[in-house]
Amino acid sequence: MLIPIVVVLVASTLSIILAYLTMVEKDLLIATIYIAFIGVLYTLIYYILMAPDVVLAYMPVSSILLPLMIVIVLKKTKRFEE
Amino acid sequence: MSVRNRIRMRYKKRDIVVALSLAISMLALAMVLNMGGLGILPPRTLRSLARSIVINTYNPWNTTLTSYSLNAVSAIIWDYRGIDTIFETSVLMAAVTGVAIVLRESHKGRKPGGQGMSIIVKSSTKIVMLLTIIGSLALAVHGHLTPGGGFQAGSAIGATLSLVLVALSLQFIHRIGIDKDTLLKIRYTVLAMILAVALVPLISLVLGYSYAYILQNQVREGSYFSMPSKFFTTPLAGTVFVFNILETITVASAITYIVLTVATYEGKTEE
Repeated sequence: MLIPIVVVLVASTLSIILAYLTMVEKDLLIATIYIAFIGVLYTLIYYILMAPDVVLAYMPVSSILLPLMIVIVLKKTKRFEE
Repeated sequence: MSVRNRIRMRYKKRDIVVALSLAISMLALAMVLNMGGLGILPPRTLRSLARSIVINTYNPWNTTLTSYSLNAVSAIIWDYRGIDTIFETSVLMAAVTGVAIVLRESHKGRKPGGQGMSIIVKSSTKIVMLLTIIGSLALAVHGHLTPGGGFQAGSAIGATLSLVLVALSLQFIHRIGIDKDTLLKIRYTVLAMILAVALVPLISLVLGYSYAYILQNQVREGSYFSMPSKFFTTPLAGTVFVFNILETITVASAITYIVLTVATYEGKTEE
């Protein structure tokens, strides 16, 4: 009973830290990798909170489709933020 | 260069301190919220709506309220709250139409090149593609029995096809018969089929058999019309099964269309 609570606490703390680092990051490709990692952490939290439907919908969207779209947009525009 | 040096080069000490303090303050806020300091907490027991849905999703003894679907979430999104989901699918169709209109001049561009990645990546991507597509088809077909359903299976297939677009080339996508115009046609056809399945119960009203409701699945009060509820001995939840499969095709074609359009778009060369 203790382990799920600890995993949720660690994952949510790590996701807040990663969200802040995403905001201050100047290299947008690395910020994209942070976003994908936040998606993995949220998937873990959803799984522990017993929402398997949300997990199944969130996995492809957060870890493949969102980073892929951002990478395509960065390829067509600029990689670094001034 | 060691990892610590690299981190020190990239971030100032202030960034890390701000991030940690944000995390700690969010955790403290969550703890206060959990103890009821910011308002009344909802009750921990099942509420009446949830209890009635949990009892009635698969309940052969209460034939006027059940939907014969073992997965309560699928029963809610396609049977009890079916109109919501149909409008949601229409919203996705509107998004696809918007992408098709805004990025419509990408057709005229020259053929995008690119041979894909190395042979190792190509072979492993082919294996992963096969496994993922089989898994998502199982998700779609078992959408009324296990967690999962139409949207989940469709987004998994779309993600797999965009992975194929990245690892193998665009020529491979064209070679296995996936084209942007075909995807758009499939998208609109299957949405029309969803609307047609929603209107099927009205046939019994027209034939004078009994009363019927739009989007009706099983027998309801005052109406004898019913979609097939069993396939031999397996529960088949009537419209839930049909809608899951149709939704898989719509979502997969929509996501693949958007990724293909955005990836092959070449804007005007203006600096």
